[in-house]
Amino acid sequence: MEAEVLESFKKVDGAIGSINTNIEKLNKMWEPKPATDNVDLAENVASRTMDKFSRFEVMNVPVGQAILGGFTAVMTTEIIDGFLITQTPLVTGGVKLVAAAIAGGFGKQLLGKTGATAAALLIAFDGVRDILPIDTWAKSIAVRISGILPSRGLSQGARGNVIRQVNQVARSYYARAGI
Amino acid sequence: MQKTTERIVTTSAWATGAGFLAGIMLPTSGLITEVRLRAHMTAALTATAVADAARRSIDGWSIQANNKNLLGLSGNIGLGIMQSLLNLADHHVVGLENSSDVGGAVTYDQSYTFHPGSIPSDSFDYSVVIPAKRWVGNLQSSVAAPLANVVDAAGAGIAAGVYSLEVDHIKDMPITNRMFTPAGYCQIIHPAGNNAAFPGISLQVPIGFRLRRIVIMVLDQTLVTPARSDALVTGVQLTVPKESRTVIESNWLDLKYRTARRYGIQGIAGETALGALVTTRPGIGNAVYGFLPAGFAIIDLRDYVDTTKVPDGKLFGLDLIGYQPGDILLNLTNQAFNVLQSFCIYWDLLAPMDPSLVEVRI
Repeated sequence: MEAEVLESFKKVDGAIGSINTNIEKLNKMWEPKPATDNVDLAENVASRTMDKFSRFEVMNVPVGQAILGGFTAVMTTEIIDGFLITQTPLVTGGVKLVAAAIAGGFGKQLLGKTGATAAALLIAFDGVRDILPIDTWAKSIAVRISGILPSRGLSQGARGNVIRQVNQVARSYYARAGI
Repeated sequence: MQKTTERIVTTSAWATGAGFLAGIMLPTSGLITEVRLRAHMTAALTATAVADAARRSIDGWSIQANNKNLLGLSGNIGLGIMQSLLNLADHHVVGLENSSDVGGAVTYDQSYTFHPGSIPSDSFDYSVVIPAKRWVGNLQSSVAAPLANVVDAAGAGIAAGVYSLEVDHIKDMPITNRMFTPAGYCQIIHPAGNNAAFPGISLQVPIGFRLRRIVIMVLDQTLVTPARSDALVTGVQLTVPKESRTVIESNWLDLKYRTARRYGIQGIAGETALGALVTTRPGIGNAVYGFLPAGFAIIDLRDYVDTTKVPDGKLFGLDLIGYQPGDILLNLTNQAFNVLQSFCIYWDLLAPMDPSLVEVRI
C-alpha cells in the first residue's frame, strides 16, 4: 500500500513537472504581442483588465485570482466531465491535466498571467483528483472531524449528488437527538 | 469552591397513608448535587412480612422549586421500591441498614439517594445540579408516607417513622449554561388488556429534555402491597416512527439481565418475602441465594446515543430538545393482564439550565 502511494506521488510529481514544462512552452508560443490592429488591441486591453482584476486581494487573500481562475477551471472541468462521462477517471484526469497545461498558456491572453495560472492550477488539481483518491482521503478526515460527508468540492457533478444523498441520510430527522 | 454535607434538622413524621407530607426546605446556599433520605421506621414484622418490605417505607418522593419538578416520584404505588432499586443499580449498595428480623417492634433504617448527576460515585458531581441558591425560599422536598400494613401482610406493620434528609452541596460555584437540572418524573400505566404484539401499550417519550434513562418497574395486582413481577411485561421496544426505525426490541427478561450486567447488579437475597427467607428458605446448600431484582429494568439511552451528533451524549443521553410529541415511542407487550397491575415508567430527564439562572456562560 505504502509503495503504491509513493508510486502514485511519483507519477503526480512527473505529471506536474510535465505541466510546468508545457506551460513554459505554451507561454513562449502565446506571448502577448504588441497590438497591430484593433482586435489585438481589444484583446490586450481585456487581458490587462482581467489581469488587474485577478490581482484583487482582500487581506492578502487572492480573491480575484480565485474567482477568475476558479470560474474558468470549474467550467473547463465540467465540460470535460460532460464530454467524457463514460470514460474512466484515469482518462478524464489525463485530459484535464492537458487542459490545465493549455489553460496555463493559452488562457494568459484572455485571463492575464495570474488568472491563467490559477485556472491551470485548479484544473490540474481536479485532474489529479480524478486519478488519485485525494477526495476520499480528505473526506475520510473531514468525516472523522464533522461526522458529515462534505458535499461541496471544486464543482457539483454527479458525484456531488450522490454525496448529497448520503448526507441526507446522515442528517436524518433524529440525527440531532443522537439516535 | 466549598463542598459541604449538611444535615437538615427538620424531619417529617410518618402517618399512615398520609400521602405527601409537608415539604421540608432544602438549603439554598449553593448547588445541590445529592439528596439523601433516610426512613427510620419501627414496625411489627411477622413471618409473613412482604417482599420489598423496607423499600416500601416511602410511597413517593418529590423535590420541587418554583413550580419546577426536579424529582417526581408520585402515584402512591410503592415508588420507594423503584428508587431503592435505582440506587442499587447506581451505587451497588442496598439501602437497608438493619437486619429487620421478625419481631414485635423492629427498628430499621432504609436509605434512598437522589443523585441527579451522571457520575453516581461522586456525590459532588456537578454535571447535573439543583441550582438551589437561586431558589431561596422555594426549594422543597416532600415524602409520601405509605400505609402501615405495606411491610407486613398479617401484623400491624409500621408503628412509627421519621424521615430525615441530608444534602451535599457546593458553595461559591457559579451556575453555568452547560449545567443541567434534573426533571425526571414517573408515569404509571394500568394495562387494559393483553398485548401479544408490538406496538402493544404505546407511550410517547417525553420531549423537550435530555433523556438519560428509562426505568421500568412492573408491579402485579396484589392489593396494598403489589409485588414486582417478571411475568407481566413480555417485551420492550423503542421506536423512532418518523424513520420507521426500531432502536430497541428486547425480551423483558433479556432486558433485565442486560440491566444487571450494565450496572453490575449482583443479585440480592431480599427478593423473597422477609419471613419466608428467615424461616423457611435457607437456600440451596444452606446458602442464601442471590436473585436479580424481578420486575425492574433500565434502558440507558447513553449507550445508544451517537456521540458524533451529540458529543456529550455519554453523560446526558439523547437530546430531545426541540422534538415533537410522538417522535419517539416506548412500546410494551404484556400478558396475564389485570387492571390493578401497574407499569411504572420513570423518565430520567434533564432540563437545560434556565437562562435566567445562568451566572457564567462558557
